Amino acid sequence: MSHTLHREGRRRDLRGEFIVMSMAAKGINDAGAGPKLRRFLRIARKHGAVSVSDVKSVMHAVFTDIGAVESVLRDLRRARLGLSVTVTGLVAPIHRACCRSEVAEEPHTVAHSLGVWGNRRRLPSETVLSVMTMCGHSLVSVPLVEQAVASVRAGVCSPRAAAVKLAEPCVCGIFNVDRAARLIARLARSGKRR
Amino acid sequence: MVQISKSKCVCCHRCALFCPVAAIRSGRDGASWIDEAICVECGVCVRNGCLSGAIRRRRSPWPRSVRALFSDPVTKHRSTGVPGRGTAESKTNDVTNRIQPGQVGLNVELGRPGVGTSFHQVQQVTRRMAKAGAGFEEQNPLTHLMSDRRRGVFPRELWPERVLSVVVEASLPLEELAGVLKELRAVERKIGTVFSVSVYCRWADRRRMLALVDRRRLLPQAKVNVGLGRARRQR
Repeated sequence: MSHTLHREGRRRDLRGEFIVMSMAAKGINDAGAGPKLRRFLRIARKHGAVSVSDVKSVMHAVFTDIGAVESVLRDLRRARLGLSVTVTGLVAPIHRACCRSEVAEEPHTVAHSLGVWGNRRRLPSETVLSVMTMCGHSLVSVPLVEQAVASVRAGVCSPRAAAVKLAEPCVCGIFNVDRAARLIARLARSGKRR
Repeated sequence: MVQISKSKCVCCHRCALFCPVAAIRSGRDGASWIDEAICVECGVCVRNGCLSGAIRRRRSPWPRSVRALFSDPVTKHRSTGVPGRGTAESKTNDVTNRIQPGQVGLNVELGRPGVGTSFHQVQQVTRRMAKAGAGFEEQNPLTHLMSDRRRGVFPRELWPERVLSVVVEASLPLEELAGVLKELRAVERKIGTVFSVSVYCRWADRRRMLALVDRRRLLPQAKVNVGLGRARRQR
């Protein structure tokens, strides 16, 4: 599933969010992929990933800086792991990172989101949606986001502490706590609700 | 099936906060209970929602078993004959070459974000897509549940089953994309849920593909397969 692709948010918020993922193709290059995937995680951590995770042999690493993504791609190219690597984020910076890291002048495949269709009246506000879609499996509920905002507004906890709690249900670990904290603080200041 | 033990529930209602589909209610006695018709068995309440160990899960019989299969990312149920709930899509296309030059992959994720969907609603979409000539992905577990893949039809017993989200995957020649998107626009006015749509192709075909979609719908970000994958001969 395209669980990193459908993140909602304004362009300026997405400038600081890149998710690098690596996985093997079943039946083609998955034999002996374990050590290579672990190497991927080591490289991601070395370059300051704010979150890393492993779900069903799919590795994710979240970065807030495209410079770090460029360094990761350069190291992955040198490591010659042979595993597929995708980067989700704004297209132009990713393309530049591919070129600068000498991974490829042209990437292989690109996926674009056409957003949410259908009965959009059932969706929460734009900012709440930006928080909950950071969990690609939609496991972060609207009431949980609302409670986090209310706690911050009441001074019970900091935006970061609230964001860490919100990340709990996200099993694949791609929830960006840094960005969530900013969004929660914004919601708490504005006094907006659902 | 997920249930809350009345004797263990301490009436804190923490579980209701965590439930993505608002399936947890409070009884007159203050204890929480789960509305089984709405519950999609995503497992969030089991993993995160209860500090007193009051929530238990039992394996559901067919056809209810599809709820956990499609809603819980950590479930390993295999009732569809295909492990997991989706395929690698564009993520390993540099190795599998599933989407060739001149082709486009189309993913429609029903119920996302956070609304949920029934198989009856899924069929509203798949029938339209089939009518427009989209071929459903062979390795996708949803395709395996169809009783008629050519028409995009599911067995009637599945229609009431609710899931947090399912991914319909199809591939088609680029020139047919506009026709399928037109069918999706028609169904979006009638359907009671939401669905997230994504399209993917080879980088060299990107401009052609984007010329076929409504630019106002495009989200700013994309998922880029950088092309580091290599096929290796396996024993």
